[in-house]
Order: sequence, then structure tokens, then C-alpha cells
Amino acid sequence: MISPTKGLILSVLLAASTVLFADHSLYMQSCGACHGADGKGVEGQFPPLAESEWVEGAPDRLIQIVLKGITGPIQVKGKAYNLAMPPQGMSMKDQQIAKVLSYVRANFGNKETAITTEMVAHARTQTKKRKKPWSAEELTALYPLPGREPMLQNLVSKVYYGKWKSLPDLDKLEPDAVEEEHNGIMSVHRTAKKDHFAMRFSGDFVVKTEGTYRFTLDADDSADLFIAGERIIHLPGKGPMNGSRVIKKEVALKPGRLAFQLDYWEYAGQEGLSVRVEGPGVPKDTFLTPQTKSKKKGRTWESIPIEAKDGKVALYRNFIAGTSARAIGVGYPEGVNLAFSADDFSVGIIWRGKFMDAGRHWTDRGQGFQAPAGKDVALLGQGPAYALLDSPKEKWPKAFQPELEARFLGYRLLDGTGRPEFHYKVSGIRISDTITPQSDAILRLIQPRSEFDSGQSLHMRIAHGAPVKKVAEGTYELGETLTIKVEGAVTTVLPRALIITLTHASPVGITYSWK
Amino acid sequence: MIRLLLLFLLSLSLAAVGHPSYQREEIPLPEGEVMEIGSIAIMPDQKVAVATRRGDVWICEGAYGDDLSQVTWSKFATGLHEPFGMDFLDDSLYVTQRPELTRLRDMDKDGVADLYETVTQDWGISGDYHEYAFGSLPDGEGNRWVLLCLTGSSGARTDFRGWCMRVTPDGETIPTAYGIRSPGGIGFNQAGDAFYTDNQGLWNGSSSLKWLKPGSFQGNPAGNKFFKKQSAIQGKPVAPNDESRVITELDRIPHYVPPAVVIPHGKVGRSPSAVLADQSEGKFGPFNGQILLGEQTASEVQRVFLEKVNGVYQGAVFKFLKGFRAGIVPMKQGDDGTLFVGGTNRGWASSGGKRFTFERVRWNGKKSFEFHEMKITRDGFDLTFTDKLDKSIAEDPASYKMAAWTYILRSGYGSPEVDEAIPVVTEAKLSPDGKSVSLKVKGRVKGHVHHLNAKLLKSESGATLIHKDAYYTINEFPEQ
Repeated sequence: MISPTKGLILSVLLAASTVLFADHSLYMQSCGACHGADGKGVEGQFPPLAESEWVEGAPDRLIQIVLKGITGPIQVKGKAYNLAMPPQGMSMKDQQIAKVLSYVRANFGNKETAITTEMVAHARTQTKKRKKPWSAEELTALYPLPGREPMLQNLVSKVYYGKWKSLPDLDKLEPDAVEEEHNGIMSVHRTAKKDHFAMRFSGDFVVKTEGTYRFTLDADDSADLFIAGERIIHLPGKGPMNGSRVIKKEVALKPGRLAFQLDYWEYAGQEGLSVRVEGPGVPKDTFLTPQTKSKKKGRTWESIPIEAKDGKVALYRNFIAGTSARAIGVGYPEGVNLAFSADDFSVGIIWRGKFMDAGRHWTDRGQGFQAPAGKDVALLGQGPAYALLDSPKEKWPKAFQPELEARFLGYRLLDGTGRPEFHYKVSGIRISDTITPQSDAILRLIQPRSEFDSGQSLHMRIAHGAPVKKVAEGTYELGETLTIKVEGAVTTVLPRALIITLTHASPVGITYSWK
Repeated sequence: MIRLLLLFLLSLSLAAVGHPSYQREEIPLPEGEVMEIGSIAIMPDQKVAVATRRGDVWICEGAYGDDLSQVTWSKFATGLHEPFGMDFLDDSLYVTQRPELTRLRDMDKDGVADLYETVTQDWGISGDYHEYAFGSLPDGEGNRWVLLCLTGSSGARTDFRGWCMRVTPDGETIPTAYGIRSPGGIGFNQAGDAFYTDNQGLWNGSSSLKWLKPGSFQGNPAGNKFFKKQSAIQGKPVAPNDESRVITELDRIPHYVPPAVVIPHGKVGRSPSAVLADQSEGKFGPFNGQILLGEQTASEVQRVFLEKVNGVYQGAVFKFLKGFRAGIVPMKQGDDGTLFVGGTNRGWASSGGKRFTFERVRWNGKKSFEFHEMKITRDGFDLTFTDKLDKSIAEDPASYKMAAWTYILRSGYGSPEVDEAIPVVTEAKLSPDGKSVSLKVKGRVKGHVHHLNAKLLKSESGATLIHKDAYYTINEFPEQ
């Protein structure tokens, strides 16, 4: 017999465990496949949720990750991950997200408050227009990790529009726009007008440790920085933000929340503001302004060098900067390299020294074009190599003319060296394009394999995009670095292009040599 | 209690190998090489070729052998651009790489390819990593089918992104189907019809296995703009309405072919990849003719039963094998029924925590209790099993729990399960051979995934099902 009390307890327990099991199964369905049944993730693959700083603190950061997904490099519990979590915002309801995140925040050693359906609904409205997944950098700028609250708090920005000749007295003006800046970052790039405006940023500068703090300020155009009511930096005038006008100032500060104010003025043209803080306990590279991409965007991959080996060429088909997406990179043991474009039937780029670094393409998903690893890079131009024209001086087409019926046929690797000989067909004529490397030059032999009709001619652009100068019969200079020799074809020199005309099935030699 | 514990331990050891009737083994890879396998090709003389995402082609000898430590590898080709699709025909390996379909030949017979013939490059690439090309085996007419993933998996920046092209042996490239988002693999069923997996995302509420009926639209309108650049498909493209349902848009869009089998997101898979029909005629167990699907994120293999109803494919997906060591991308089957599986985790992490893997799975002949087929009938479903059923449980309608739902068809990324319904099993009748049950079901819904949980079922010898859930997508009801 079960006593009524016992029965009640049992049913309550049962109900509670049903809820728990339901939450756990929702977790397994939505998160567990990657982050593990124990929330510990998979090292190097899926970051842990157990005692993760990304789960801790204010809920918005965590909700946003689930809503929009997150992609790219991320540090979790001191370990690096690089992956993409797909967005779940469209596939999960607010209530499910709240339930599963509350489960995550209360399990695996996490002891955080629950997340409500309302919080999720609110977070959804905050980023309604955002379509892309977050990057860790973007997300933490808006929703800082615990212990990394911004140094500038309660920051408010005000924008004033008007034509002034110097930074105006903003106390006397009415702002045209006022915004709260929760990330503690002062941006001058979000105004409606890009010229003739001023801004005032005010908030609390939070000092945790007594000591000397150094502020480094640069602006385009003027800026004044005040701490605790005192102007510590005055950068007047109009000027570029190129480092020539940087002002550094050291001040002794005591712990507490100090009144912070920065007034900024933009006349016309480029605008910018950079404020850096150094001091006791302040992490390296702490800026109170958005950091320009070029400063922070380091390589996120390890170098994977590719070079010719054992007297044989190295082949690398991938996205090579300076030519089209269908690039076939060839690194020769002789120390010269090129990328042949299977889109254009042209040698698009040549260089000396090292061949390629595959790190960009062979790490993570491999986005983007990679520049050659070596030196003396010479661009020979993009666009179709062949055209049917009445005169070589006519405007060169942007793509192969349909009547050419241009078709890339591939390449043969020659015995011993593995050097590729490229094959293609244009205007019914099959052409083999053989390349022979030398230590300081690249020899190219264009060999039509079928006879031309009488009167048929085919124009081939062998280089363009830099000034061309004739230096001797059949010898030309391209830009500052290259000499090009042509043998066996009529050559037309245009100010920035070199064009040869093929009329017979006889070979044409082209030599590209470095000066 | 002890018995329970024993059962628990037993189930753990079963989980470790994935399935009691199958044996999974890792095939040693050439030392020091990064072998992120994106393609596998079965060759004569028990050789197997693999292509890596770094662009190398390797040939493996000994992959069928009993002693895998004797495996040897030789490098056949290099410098390809992220190939996803490879087959061997006559004297050549045909490789679908990002920029083209290539025929690799060894003219001087020294064991290394020396002729890289471009069969076709009649599609666009812009430099976006997501513009993958997935290639099929040759079809009955010798044509290879190439799937062109969308730019960034959402747009169509270059020609024929979001399309399937059919490439004839002489390189003619025929636009064949459109509306593709982000494919993970392509294969043919025994009837020779082409199927591919498309991943959850824009206009894909959940991932699914889709039928590439020539001339069909598959649901994502990003590539519709290329319609005017081709003449192989007649008519006009119609973009689906946002926030709609597949079943609704089918009436509006003449070319639209609904997903044959939805792979419920989260419940069954997350990133379906390879599509492979088991054609081993029993050498790979009792599922001949069914489709095996790779699953990248969970490092699993799933199993699909397909049937054609009123001219439209539909069917059920079941969980099948698990525990692979990296995210599965390609799968091929050897003549002796061996399943070869390749995997890579780069860019897309997986439960199998290794960076890459090459594995084989063989049937060990042991009997196990599994769903075999789930077929739709006029008034319910016919279920078949790999073993005889316990009659009293099998004929109790309460042994079957069902739920049904669908997904929103929309421009946003994925969809929750919506329009939930609870179909009810009202009658269950065991066949004379004891291996099939005819269910009468009330409340089935056209356009919905029908989840059947049969955890209560037992075989005659008292075993429960290894995989207790089936997910059947109803596109059509059999005609009355």
C-alpha cells in the first residue's frame, strides 16, 4: 500500500523527472549531438558548454548565438575553436530556446539563472534585421563576456549636424540624435550624414586599480577628451588620421567611476576616431573605439608551404590572387612560378622564389584568394586571351565571344618534370600552350594544332594592364619589371596591351623575363 | 537488477560498434599525409581510389583484405581543386572538382596520371568556398550529374549555381534540375533515378533526400535567374511564396518535386551527405535496394526505404550505423558488398573527433531485429521487419505511437516542426510469415513527416528493435 503522502511525493517526483527528461531530450536534440550529452563538447571540434564563460552572465549573448549562429575563430575556456554553428532561430520557438538554454545554464556544472520565453522574444526583436551569423568578435563587442565588461559604461552618444570651422561648444547645441552605446565603444561611423557633424560621448570610465593610465588619441578631424571634468587631450584642427597627429597623455587615476566625455568634430571627407587605453590590469590592445579591421585581422591559419620537389613541378589548383577563380598554379623547380587561368587561357600572373602557401585554403573552409608566396610578382592581366576582331586595336571583349566556342581541354604533364602543357580550342583551332621555365624567365610556346582557313586570323592578348613600350624589334617592356619577346607572330603594341595575331598553324614563342 | 545492468552493459558494447550485424574498421592511411577524403571510387582488381580535399588522388590496395595492416597506397594525381565525386571507367578516373569535371589518365602506364582532360567546365565559380561541385557516378547513358552549391550557400553569384547539370561523355553539359541549396552528395536508386541530399537552411525547413527528376524544381529559388540562359527545361520558373508549405506550393509551381524523404532535423540528422543504393544483393545484409545516407555532423549512416506513389517518390528514413571517426562525406560500395566511408571534419566539425578518416563496414551475417520497410497503404502502413515478431505485441495497436508534422517553407534558415498532428493506429495485423504488420492508421496528413515509434515491439525471441523509430514522409496517398 502506498500512503496518500507517499503517493503524492511519488507523483511529484515523477512529474519533476518527466520535466527533467523532457528538457534533457530537447537538449540532446538541439545541442547534444555536437556539444555532447555531458556538455563537454569534443576537443578541437565543438566547444564545451560545461562551465563555459560564454554560458555565464547576462543571457543575451547565449540567446543570440542560438538565434543567429556563430562562425569563425572563437576561444572557449582557453582553447581555440574554429567552426560554424548554424542559426537555430528559424527552427526553434522562443519557448524551446528558453527551455533548452535554461537547462544548459542549470546543468553541466553551470549555476546560472533561467532564461524566460520573454527574454528570447525580446532578444529576437533586438536583432530582427540581422541575417548573418555572429563572429565571436562582433558578439562580444555587443554582449561582453563576464569579467570583460567595457571600461566605458553607461555610454551615451549624441550627434549634432551643422557646418562649423572647428569643434563647436556642444553645451550650447541641441543634439539631432541620442543613442545608448552598451558596448562601451565610441563609433563615429554610424551617423546619418558623413560630413559636417559633431558628436559627444559621455559615460563612466571605470577604474579598478589605482595607477597611471595612458590615453592615445587620434582623430579626423578634431577631438577633446575629458576625465573627471578635466580636459586631458586637445586635438584641434582638420587633419588626416595617419599617425602624424597622435596625442598621448598619461594621467594618475584612483579607483572608481570617473566622469568621461569626448567631443568630436568632423568637417568633410574621411572621418575617424581612435582612443586606446593602457594601464594597470587593462588588457593589451584595449580601445574605446572600433578597431579598424586591418589592425586586428591577422592570419588565422598556419602556413602550409607548397614547393616543387625532386625536380618535379608542384601543381596547385585554387583561388590565386591576380587571376581568375579557375587558376592552375605551377611551381617550377627552376624557381619561377605562374598561374594559368583556365577561364582566360592565359598566363595571368608570374613570380619568382617561393611558390604558394596553402594555409588559407587548407585550414577551415578556405575562403578567399591567396597571393603568391614568392617575390617579383608580375600581373599579365585578366580577361579572355583570344578574340576575333577586325583590328587588334578594337575594344577587347570582356568575356570570350560566343562565336569563338572557346573550350579548355585540360593539360598533359610532360615526362620527367611533370611540367603541364595546356590544351584548349578557340575558333575551331586546337592549341597547345607549352611552358618552359628558366631561372629568370618563362618561355611559352603557342602551337596551333590545326590549319587556319585562308584569311582566318585570331588575336591573342599576351599581356595588358601596364604600360607597354617597344624597345627593339620583337622586344617589349611591360611596366617596370618585365621584358617580353615575341617570335613568329605579328605584334601590335597598344599603350597598355600587347597583342599578337595568329594566321597560320606555325608556332609562336613568347618569353617573359624579369629585368 | 543484475540482469538490467547486464543488458545495459551489453547495449553499451553494441553501441561501440554501432550495430550487431555490422563490423566497422578503420583503414590505415598513408603516414604523414592529410587525407581529408571527399571522394571514393571503386576500381577493378580490388583497388579503391580516394580524392582528398587538398586535391590529391591516391590508390589503395588491400582495402578488402582481412589484414588491414597490409594496405598500401600510391599517389596517382595532385593539384585538384576540392573534388567531391569520383568514379573509374575503362582506363580513367573521372573526378568532379570545383572548377570542372576531369578525366584523369595514365598514358605511359607508370601508375601516375599524366593527362588531366577537362570534360566540362560549363559552370561559374567566383572564388567563394561554398561554391562546391558534387559529382555522381555515370548514369545508364554514361552521363555524370553535377550539383552546383549556391554561392555562400544562399546566393547565385555565378552561372548555374543552384542547378544540377548532366554531363554527357563528350562533355555536353545539360541543365537538368534547379532549386538546389547546399548538397552533400548524389546517387542513383536501383531504378536509375537520381537523388541528392540537401541541407537544412534557406528554403529547407529540414534536410531531406530529394529526387532529381529531370526538369524539376527543388525548392530554393536563388538560381531561378539562370532559367533564361538555358533551353533544356521548358516552361517558366515560379518562386515559392515565403512562409508557406511545400504541399501548398506544389499546386502553384509546375516543376516542383517535393522532398522524397525528409530527414527530421535534430531527430535523425543535421548534415546529410552521400547517397548510395545498396546493390549488393544481400552481401551487405537484408537491405538490398535501399538507400544509405552519410551524415556528416553526427558521423553516422542512415537508411532510407523509397517507394513511388502516384509517380512521386516518398518513403521512410531509419537510423542505421554510427560511431564513425570523422564527418562522413563520400560512401561507395565494393563488389563484395563492403561499404567504404570517407570523412573530413575541416570547416564542419563532427562527433567523430578525428580530422579525417577512411573506414569500411562489412556485414557479419548475424541476425538482428530491425525495421526493414515501411510502405504506405490505402488505410495505413505496412511494416516489414528483419525477424519474426511476437504476435500478441505486434497485433496490439497500443504498441505503436505516432506523431506527424511538417516544416515551414521559407526564405529564413530552417523551420521548427509545425502543424503537429497525432495519427492513431487503430488496428495491427500480423502476416502469416510473422515478419510484416499491416497497420490501419487514422489521421495521416499529406505533406507531413510521420514518426512511428515501435519501442514496445519484440521479436519472437524477445529482442527489441535496434532502431525503434521510423520517419515516413507522405507526399501522396495511394489511389483508392
